[in-house]
Amino acid sequence: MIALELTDIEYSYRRNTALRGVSLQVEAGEIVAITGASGCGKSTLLHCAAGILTPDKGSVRLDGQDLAELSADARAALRRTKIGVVLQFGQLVPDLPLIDNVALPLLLAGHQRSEAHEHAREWLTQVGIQDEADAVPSELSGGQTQRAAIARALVSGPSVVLADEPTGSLDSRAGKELLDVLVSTARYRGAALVMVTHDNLVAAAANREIRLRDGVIQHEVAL
Amino acid sequence: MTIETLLLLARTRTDADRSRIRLATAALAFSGALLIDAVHIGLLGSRELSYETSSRYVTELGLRPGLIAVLVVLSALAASLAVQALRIGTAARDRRFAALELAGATKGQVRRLSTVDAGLIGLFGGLLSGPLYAILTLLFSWFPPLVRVFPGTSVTDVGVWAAVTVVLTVSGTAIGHFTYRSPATRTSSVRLPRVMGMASGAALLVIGLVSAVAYVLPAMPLTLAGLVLLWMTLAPLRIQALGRRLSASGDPARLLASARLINDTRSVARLGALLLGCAFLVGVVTQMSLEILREANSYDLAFYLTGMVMSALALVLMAAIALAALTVGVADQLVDQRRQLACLTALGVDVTFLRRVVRGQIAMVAAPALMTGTCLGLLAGPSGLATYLVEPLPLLYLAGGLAGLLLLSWGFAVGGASLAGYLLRNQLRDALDPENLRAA
Amino acid sequence: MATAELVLGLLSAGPAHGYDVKRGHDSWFPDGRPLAFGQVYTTLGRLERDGLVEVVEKTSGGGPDRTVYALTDKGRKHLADWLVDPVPPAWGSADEVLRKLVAAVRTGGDAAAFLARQRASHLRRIRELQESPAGQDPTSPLVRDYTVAHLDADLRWLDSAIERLSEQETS
Repeated sequence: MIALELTDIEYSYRRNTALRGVSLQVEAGEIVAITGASGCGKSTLLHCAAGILTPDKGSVRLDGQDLAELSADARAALRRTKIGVVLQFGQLVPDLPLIDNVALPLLLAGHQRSEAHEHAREWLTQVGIQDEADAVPSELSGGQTQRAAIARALVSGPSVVLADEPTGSLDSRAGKELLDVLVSTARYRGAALVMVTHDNLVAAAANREIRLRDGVIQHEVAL
Repeated sequence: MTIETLLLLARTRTDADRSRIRLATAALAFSGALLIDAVHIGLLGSRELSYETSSRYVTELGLRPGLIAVLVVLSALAASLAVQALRIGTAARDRRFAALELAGATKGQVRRLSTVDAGLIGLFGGLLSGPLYAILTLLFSWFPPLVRVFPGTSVTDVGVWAAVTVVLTVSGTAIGHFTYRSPATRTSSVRLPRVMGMASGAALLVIGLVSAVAYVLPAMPLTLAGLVLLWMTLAPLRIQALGRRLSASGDPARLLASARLINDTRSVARLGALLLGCAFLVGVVTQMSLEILREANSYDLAFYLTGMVMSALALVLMAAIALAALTVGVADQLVDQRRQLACLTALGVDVTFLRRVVRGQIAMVAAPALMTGTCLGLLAGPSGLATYLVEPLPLLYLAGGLAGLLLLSWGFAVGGASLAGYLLRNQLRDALDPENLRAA
Repeated sequence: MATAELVLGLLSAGPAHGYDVKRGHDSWFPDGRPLAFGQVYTTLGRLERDGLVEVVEKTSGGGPDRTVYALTDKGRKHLADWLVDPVPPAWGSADEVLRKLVAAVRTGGDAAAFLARQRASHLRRIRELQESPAGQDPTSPLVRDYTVAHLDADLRWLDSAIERLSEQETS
């Protein structure tokens, strides 16, 4: 089954074109690495897939549903339930304790706090930081913050997890640990995982490498 | 989203946000207390009060409408300050909302949060306004009867208090709803087109000044509104021009201050307009006082001057709070940029230097607004321009008043800026702490 | 290659058969290429000739696998000296990947496709290594890190090679 399908995506920032017609399909449970030099458009592609950016041309389909056909609110709801996003840093609400941060997508969807906390705790355990549930983000190390971000990305049971340089702010050892957590958590959930990275060790964890250059796919190889 | 979640997320915990909320709540409470006072006096109807216990401004039936009008104007000024405090887009708040949107919150949900946030502030401001009114009444009862403009408390005040609370809660909610702008769509916020703002400001100003010849009192608010509108639309241009000029300066303190000004032109311009409004009214009051002093034969000198001084003091208080709002904005920037600032330590930047930057940043906004406002107020007051044409004031009086006001407002701006620098010294030290290099 | 010194190191714990030496080597370098029997015996023979090891036991009629070797004092000293000396940096010796790439570019072959396949092959190797946990002994994780770091370095060079070729193509 195809979890995520991007067709002929084009996107321009004010002056320069970031993507010039990129298509890609991600099967459920697959792990895909998107690589390429800085400025090749890889993060833009991920942001289009996540619905953070709206492409100028082309379509984004999630579990067969075209994002462009949805209202802004429905898109937000879909993002909340079907997609988990992990960025390089800075995605946690600074003044909320971890448990609430992780429970956030469920709380926003209208779940009771106690119920949301129960799920959040499960995922905090899954990523190995259940002891930090009551800490606020500023009290945590970079690796712990990223783990919390992974837990939050998965708490609502998404079919696709999108990660933009998830280990970018970490040293190689913490990065490896985080990568293991990310891959095993996505597998545990059975979600497809799409990672944008310039780190070969992260790319090596994928089943497929898609390499971008100047906004087009340069090559695509199975790993 | 459940109510519990809504309240959880609306509650704010960062320091910069808390001081913003404290400021807004205090301003609303003050505004509410003045409103209760106005209603209380209004409800007196034609009832007589003893000269022993209350000020003549309250006891003399003919003066009551005037006093009520003054109270309402002051209340509105305080409320506009609250709006301003609510609108200060603290960086921490923007980041929070961005993070929420990333977690899948819809625009509507984030707007609802902002609405609840402001509604709560209105509620607390309203709840505090009653006790504040009682405290002010008590405080003023220690002064000589002439200044007792708070005519005591009564049972009906409780009802008025409740009504004021409801009004403030509702208006807080409305402000929160309409002033919310998504951090992602920064440029598309609702705003008056510059040309239209400039044109209507200029038109109001001209109408105000011209009609002042015939109708002195109604012309004043027109003049004031025109001035404020013009300032709000022109000040961003001026600040940007100033910033560009300063950014060519060799002094690194000025360079930094200008960069920060350019960054946040609009809210700075709004606070500048508020300062200008206060300063204008101070100028008007000063002019009226000068007029009274000139006709020194009046046996009521004490009566008039007390009123003038009290109004002037209330306005100065308002200006001080507006300066405080400006300071909160600066403090917020500091917290937000603490990492970059900590990097500056390596370049030899210390707290003294940063205090100079902050002082410059505040004085650059406050001084021109205050100086322009007082001078224009002095010239365009009720017995101003029109009268000067018919019956010129002795040059000495005018020049003296003008020079005095210019000096005072400059001193107020610079003094306030220095005070702000002093008050922020701990934040500045924290901001420069190399420890910040660790935290993102 | 320092196979001789490694064999001395493997014998430093006590006398051993050639077979034990081979087993020891392969467990020290679990991700590396296994040591061939032939190489073990030729190395032991050369070391014996140089007086660095000696035969301490020889079962009658047995082949080479019946012989037990031990370190001599001279061998122990040689090993200690070897461990003190830093290794001179590599002299830019061309490995197979570089040879193929140069040949592909010079002969007008599809260098870009070769590089993409080579990247995939390296990435696959890293994944295999990352997926099987390194042994618990003190040296296995070191060996693992070394191998992965070198593959990573190769990949980074492959990256820049791809970029460079693309630039040459577009200009």
